[in-house]
Amino acid sequence: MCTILGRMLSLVCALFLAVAPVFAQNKPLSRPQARTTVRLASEATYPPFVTLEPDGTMGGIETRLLQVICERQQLHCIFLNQPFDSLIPGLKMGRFDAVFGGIDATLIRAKQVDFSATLYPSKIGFLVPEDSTIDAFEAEELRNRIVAVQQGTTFIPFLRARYRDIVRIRTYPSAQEAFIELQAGRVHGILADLPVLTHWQKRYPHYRVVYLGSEDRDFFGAGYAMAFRKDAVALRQLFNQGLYAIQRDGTYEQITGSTPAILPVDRQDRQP
Amino acid sequence: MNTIGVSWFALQWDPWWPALLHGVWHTLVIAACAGVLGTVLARVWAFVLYARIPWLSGGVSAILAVVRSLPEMLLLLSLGFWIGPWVRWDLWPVEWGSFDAWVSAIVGLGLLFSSYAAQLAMSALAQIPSGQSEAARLLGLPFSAIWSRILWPQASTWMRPGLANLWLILLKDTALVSLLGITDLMQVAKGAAASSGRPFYYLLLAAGCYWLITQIGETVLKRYGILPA
Repeated sequence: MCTILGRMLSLVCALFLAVAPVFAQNKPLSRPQARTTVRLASEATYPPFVTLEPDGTMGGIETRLLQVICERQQLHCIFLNQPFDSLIPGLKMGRFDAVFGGIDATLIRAKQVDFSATLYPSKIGFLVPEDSTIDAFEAEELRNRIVAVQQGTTFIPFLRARYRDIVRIRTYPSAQEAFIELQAGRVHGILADLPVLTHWQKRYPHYRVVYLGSEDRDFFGAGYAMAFRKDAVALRQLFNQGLYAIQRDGTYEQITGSTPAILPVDRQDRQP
Repeated sequence: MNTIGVSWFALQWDPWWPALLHGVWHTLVIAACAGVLGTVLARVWAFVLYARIPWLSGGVSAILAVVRSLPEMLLLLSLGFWIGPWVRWDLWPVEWGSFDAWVSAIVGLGLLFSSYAAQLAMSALAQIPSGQSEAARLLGLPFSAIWSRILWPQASTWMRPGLANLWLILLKDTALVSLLGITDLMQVAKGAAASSGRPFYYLLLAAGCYWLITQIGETVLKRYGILPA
């Protein structure tokens, strides 16, 4: 009885191993064609860039930009809501073809993935309560203050390098937790992307932004961009062409309400 | 409390409810499938471990030890990345989480459940006096009959309270499947919390859903005598 069971188990295992490669049809998108399905992933908890709509679809500025680009380039784009931690691993494992959503195109990240041209310029803000005594993001005002930042963001290396021994850094899984902590008075301010802060400030007006900056290119890169696998050059070029096209014809300004940020990461991709 | 988006007495219908209920549905389906798979697997593991089959028993106990020692999140992620590329069918809209993610989630959670349940089964089996199986062997019963007629019916009775606990833990572990891109209750609640600007309201709503599910589950288990009333 025991040996029979053992044999049956090994038979099942062998069968599975033999058949499995048949199911594996995950071709890399090296030559995207019209109506190719492209899987775009982001965590939909980052208003105003990427948000979740009540009907389960994704919205926000970046999502709308990409929808327009996909339409123009005749790609069939699927938007996937995926936790932030699993975006880059999932991209590398081929679960999706590109990731987006307020991702800074930094040099460190560019070693792992390829970035598209800049979707949106990055600006950084520092949000404090209205009655805070902090009036500028400077060392003497920030001494021993608690600054909240999101985990895994570029703000942490920035603070560690420039404000080491001055501020106390506290990290949170998402911007939402940081907002809750600020309201509860457990942190003195939040360092985050400016659009995220101003979007939140519209709802809670008793807070102000004291620091605007994007000049530190060593840390923050040129702006927010989509990330692709290193081998998906053609797909990346398709998206870049689409982006330049909508920047030229004014669709970009309609969606973002701002002038285009033309700071291409890779100038070779720029098509006339 | 209003500053953090909680208004206790304003529990009303809003456009996010269908999405949340859809998340509840996904959570329930995953918990049910993983629970059934885990219970079946637990019986298989218990048989293999108890029968002391050369090589197989050692291998299974080694694998289960690994599964028990890993954090749930790590197990699910690595299973997703292993199994993911092997399964490539699209049975439903990919926005719900792709089919391979569902397979990985159910297999991962089922495996976790079964690894703990197998331990439970082994301790239950140890409670059965050895004289029973010795007597059965003297009567000439084959091992398979001893197992299915004498050992397992008693062991499964001993296991019930522990299994009920494991089912509840499994239900809450389903919150991890959002890592694989499945839109479960927690994923929807997080999205709603961030996108609507009322962070606590939707998270508390999700907490209420989990509480309701476990309460209903416990009532059912008590009704059928699986849990002591």
